[in-house]
Amino acid sequence: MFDLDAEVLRWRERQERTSSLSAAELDELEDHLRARVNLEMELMVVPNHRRAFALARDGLGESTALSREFAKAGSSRWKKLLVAGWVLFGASFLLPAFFVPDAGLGLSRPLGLRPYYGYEVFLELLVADGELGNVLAALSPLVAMVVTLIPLRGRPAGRQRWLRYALSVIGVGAVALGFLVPPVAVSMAGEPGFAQHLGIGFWAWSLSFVCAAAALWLRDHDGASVRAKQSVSPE
Amino acid sequence: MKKPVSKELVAASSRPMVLSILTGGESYGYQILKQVKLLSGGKLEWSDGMLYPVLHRLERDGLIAGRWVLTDEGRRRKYYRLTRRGKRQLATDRENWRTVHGALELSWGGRNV
Repeated sequence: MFDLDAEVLRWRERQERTSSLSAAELDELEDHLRARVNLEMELMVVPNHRRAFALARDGLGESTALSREFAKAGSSRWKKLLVAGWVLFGASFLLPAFFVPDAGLGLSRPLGLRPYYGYEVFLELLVADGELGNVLAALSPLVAMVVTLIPLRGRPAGRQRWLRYALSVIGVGAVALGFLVPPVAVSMAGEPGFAQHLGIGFWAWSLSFVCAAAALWLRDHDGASVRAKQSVSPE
Repeated sequence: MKKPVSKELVAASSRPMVLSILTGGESYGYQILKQVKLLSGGKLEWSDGMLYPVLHRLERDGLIAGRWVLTDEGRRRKYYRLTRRGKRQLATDRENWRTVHGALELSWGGRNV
């Protein structure tokens, strides 16, 4: 016996695998499918639900064509946010992440503070002592940011949910760290107190992940303002 | 039997068509599609998949606004309404299409072409 719900679910899963449509866009298309099936059956144009569903599904077209059309019309807000995230991320390498005490010419007392740039932090973590933990700490955020480029190439949205969470954790965690627990960073330079002088690069780096996570969230939820418990009669 | 209206003309008229339909009140994708068929006597062939990108583009441009509603069956349905900006755009589109229509009518001079 034909099970419409199961067929719709199968159609949806296929779209999630093969198209770049967001969950909100798929909700809308699913509603369209069901509305059309209902109408075909009401008008008795087709003999059964199976045929009505096939007509409705074919009417919507192939997932690649749908993705292309949606991409043309797609909201660009999430892309702008993602680009902003990348600009911040890139800039963070060129801006001072911290200000560290400058030992000057071998004097025991620091002469002042010198900027410790983002790229210096990155390189130090990556190559200075070669510890696996540091290498992972340097590369993981970079990899996470690089993976954000995948949605731009039209990969299914559902598969990047984990990435959104990872980016949120990195970004919000870093911002919280910057505000709440500055002494934690002390050990990086081995100088007590330097972390009280966080540079703009640190904040740019942290916010870049928040932006990227927000962009991915926006991509999946754009325009989806569910008003639950409000009922509108169908048709 | 007459040929269906060309794809180019269908695409060009999609914006004023959707905006005009929404002057009648909030509506959702499939209902809009049915209205298009009804108004054109089936001569404007809109594919089902074509409508939603058009709606999203209009929403992105601020000409219509969408909101999700929970239907009686407990499913989400997106309803669209015309915005103030959309009304202004529709007035402009109407004027432009009337100009085109008027010019063509005059050029044909009442002759059967």
